[in-house]
Amino acid sequence: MSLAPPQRVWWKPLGRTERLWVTLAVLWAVVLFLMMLVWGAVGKQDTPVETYRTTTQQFTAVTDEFVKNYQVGTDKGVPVVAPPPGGDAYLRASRWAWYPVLELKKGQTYRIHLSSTDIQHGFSLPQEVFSLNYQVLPGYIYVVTLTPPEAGEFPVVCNEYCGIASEKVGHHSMVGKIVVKE
Amino acid sequence: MATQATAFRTCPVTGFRVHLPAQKLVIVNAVAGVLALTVGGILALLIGLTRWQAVHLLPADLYYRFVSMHGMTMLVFWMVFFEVAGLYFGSTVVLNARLVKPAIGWLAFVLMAVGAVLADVVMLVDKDSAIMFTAYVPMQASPLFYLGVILFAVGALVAVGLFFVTIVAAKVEGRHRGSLPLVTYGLVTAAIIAVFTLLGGAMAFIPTFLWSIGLMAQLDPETYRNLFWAFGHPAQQVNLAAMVAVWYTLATLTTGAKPLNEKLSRFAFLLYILFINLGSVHHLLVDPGLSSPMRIFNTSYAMYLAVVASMVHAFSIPSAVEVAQRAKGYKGLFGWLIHAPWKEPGFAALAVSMVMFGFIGGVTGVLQGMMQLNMLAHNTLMIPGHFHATVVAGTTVAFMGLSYYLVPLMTQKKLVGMAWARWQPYIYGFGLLLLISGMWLSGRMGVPRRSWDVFNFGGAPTFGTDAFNAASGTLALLGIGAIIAVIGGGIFVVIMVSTLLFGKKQQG
Amino acid sequence: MARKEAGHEEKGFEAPGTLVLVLVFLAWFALAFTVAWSSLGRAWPVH
Ligand code: HEM
Ligand SMILES: [Cu+2]
Ligand SMILES: [Cu+2]
Repeated sequence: MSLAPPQRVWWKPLGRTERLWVTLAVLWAVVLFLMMLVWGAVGKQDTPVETYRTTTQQFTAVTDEFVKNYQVGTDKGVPVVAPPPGGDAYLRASRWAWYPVLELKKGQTYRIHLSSTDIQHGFSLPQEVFSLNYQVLPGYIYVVTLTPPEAGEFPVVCNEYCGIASEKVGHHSMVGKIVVKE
Repeated sequence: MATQATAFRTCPVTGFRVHLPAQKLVIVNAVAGVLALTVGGILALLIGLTRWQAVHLLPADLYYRFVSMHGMTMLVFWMVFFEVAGLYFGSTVVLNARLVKPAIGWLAFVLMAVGAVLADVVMLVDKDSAIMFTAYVPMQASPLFYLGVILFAVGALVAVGLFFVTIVAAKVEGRHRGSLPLVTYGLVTAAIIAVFTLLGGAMAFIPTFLWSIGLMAQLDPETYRNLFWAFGHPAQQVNLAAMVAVWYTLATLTTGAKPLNEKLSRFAFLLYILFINLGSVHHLLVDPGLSSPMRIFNTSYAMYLAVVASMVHAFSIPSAVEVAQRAKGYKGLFGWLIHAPWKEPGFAALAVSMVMFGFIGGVTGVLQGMMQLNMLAHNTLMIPGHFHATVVAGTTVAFMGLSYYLVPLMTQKKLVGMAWARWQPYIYGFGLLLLISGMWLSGRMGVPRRSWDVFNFGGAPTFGTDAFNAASGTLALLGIGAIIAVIGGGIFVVIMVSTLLFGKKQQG
Repeated sequence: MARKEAGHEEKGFEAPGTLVLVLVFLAWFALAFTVAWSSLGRAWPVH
C-alpha cells in the first residue's frame, strides 16, 4: 500500500500494460511538441515574436505622428486612421481607451504595433469562433502582423485588469474599434 | 526520553503512532485551510452571480475586490494551509516519527496566519490594493498587501524546512527504515518544488514591496511577469504533486490498492521535479519579448515530459485499484470498477478528482498552453475554466476526500454527517462541471476574465459591442454552476466544523 | 498487507480495464487536440 514503505525490492521491471502505456504517452508527447513546429511552418497563424523597447514619450509621439499622417475621419471623437496596406499601424493602450480607431482593408496585411503608456493592458479581438489575444506592456512594442480576411466592425476589448475610476469608467469600459473595409 | 514516549498515542484503527504535538499542528493548519475555503467560497458565490450577466449582483468595485480576494484566499491560503497539514502528517504519522521542534511549526503557522489576514483585509478595505493576486506592476498596492504575502510565504518556507528536518530525523533516529512510502515520497516532491516556488515568490514580491515603500526602482513589467510566474506556476505543481500523493493515499484507504510498479510511480514524481518549473512560460506565451524556440521549449516543459508523468499516474492509480479489486474476486473487464466503493466519500472524491482533473483540466491545460493555441485563450474565461478543473475539481476535491479520514484520525472524533459526505464530492463536482463549462464556453466566444460587464461595458463606453451577447446562456450556466458548487463546498465545511465541535469522541 | 503480488507476468495485461480507460482518455485528448487546432485555422491569419 502506498502509505507503507515499499516491500522487498521495488525496482521491478515494468509489466506489459505499463510498457504499452508509457510508450503511447511518450509518442503523444512527441506529437504535441512537433505540432507547434509544424503549425509554425505551414499554418497561417503563428505567435508574434517581434518586440522592441520603447518609452511612454516615444510611443505617444509615434502614435500621434501616425494619426497625423493617415487620419481619415473621426468616430465619437476618436480619430479613424487608415494605414497603408502592407504598412505599419500603431495602437496605443492607456487607462481606459484604445487609440486610435484603425481602418483596414480586407485581405491586406498590417503590422500593428501594440504598447501601453501607463500600466498593463490586454488586446483582445473577438472573432467568429474564439478571439485573438495579446499582452500589452508599457515599455515594450509588440508587433502583431494581421491579415483581416473579412469585412466588418470589430471591437478591441481590454482583457488585462487595469483598474477602475468608477462604475462607468474603467477596465470593463475599455473597448476600441477596428473597421475592416472590402 | 520519558517525556517523548508519552508524547505519542497509538491509533487503534490504523495502528499509526501519532505524535501529539504534530497532531495539534495538523489540526490547526487544516482548520485554517477550511476557514480560508469558507471565506473564498462565499466570495465565489458573489462573483459567480455577478458574472451571470442576467443577475449581475455586485457593484463593479466590490466585484474586483472580491475576485482579488477569492483568487488569493483560495489558490494560496486554502491550498497551502492544507498542504502544510499534509506535510506534517506525511512526515510524522505515516513514518511513526516525531515532529522535530513543534515550536517552529507554531512560528510558521503564526507567520502564515498573520500574512493571510493582513493581505485579505488590505484587499477588502482598500480598493486600490485589490489588483488581483497577480499584482502586475506598475499597478501598485499598499505596502501592507505585499508584506502580507511575504509573511505568508516565509511562514510556508519555514514549515517546508521543518518537514525536511523531520524526515531526516526520522531516518537518523531509526524510527523509519528503508525507502520512504510512496505518499511521503510524493510529498517530498511537492516540498522540493515548493522551495523554488517560494524563492521565486520572494524574488517577485520583495522588490515590489521595496518599490511600494520607495526604496527601490520599479521592476520592469516583463521581468516582474517572469518572476511572478516563476512563483505562480510551480505553485500549481506543488498542488499537483500533493494532489497525486493524496490520490495514492485515497486509493489505498478505500480499496487497499498498492501501486503495480513503485519504480514507475516514483520516476514519474521525479519527472515533475525536473521539468515542471519550465512550464511557467505558458503564462507569457503572448507577451512581447521571448523568442519562439524559448516559448516552445518551455511551454512544452522540455517536450512534455511532465505530461508523460501525469499520464503515468493516471494509469498507475486506477490500475492499482483494479488489481486490488480483482484480488477480491471481481471479474470481467469492468467488474472491479462497477463494484468499487462509490459510496465511500474518499473513493467518490478520488473518482471525481481524477476524471475532472484529467479529462477537463489536463486536456485544456496542455492545449491552451501550446504556443499558437494560447492566442485563442489568453486572459479569456477559458483560463479560469481550465484551472477550476485542475485546482478546484482536481486538487480541492482530493483534499476534501482526504479530510474525511484525516480529520477523524487526528481529532479522534467520529465524522458527523457520513450520509452527506457520501454525496458531497458528486454535488460539488457536478456544480463545478457546470461552472467550468460555462466559463470555458463563454471564453471561447472571447468573453474576458476579470471583467465586470461584458454586455454594456459599464453603461457609457466610447465604443461598445454586442459580440458577447451570444454568451448570455453560457454565463447563466456559470452562475448556476457556482450556486451548486458552493452548496457542495458548504456541505463539506459544515461536516468538518460539526465533526470538530460535536463529533463523538473515539478512543485511542 | 501481505496480499499476493498480482501482475507482472509477461503474458496478458495486468489491468485490462484500466488500459481501456486510459485509451479512452487518449482518444478524447486527440479529439480535443484536433478540434483546437482546426479552430485556430479559422482565426485571422497572424504572425
Ligand atoms: C465553489 C467553488 C468556486 C466557484 C463557484 C468559483 C468561481 C469563480 C469565479 C466566478 C471566478 C471569477 C472569474 C472571473 O470573473 O474572472 C473565479 C476566479 C478564480 N478562482 Fe474560483 N471558484 C470556486 C472555487 C475556487 C477554488 C477552490 C480555487 C482555488 C483552489 C479557486 C481559484 C480561483 C482563482 C485563482 C481565480 C482567479 C482570480 C483572478 O482572476 O485573479 N476558485 N472563481
Ligand atoms: Cu486596459
Ligand atoms: Cu483592462
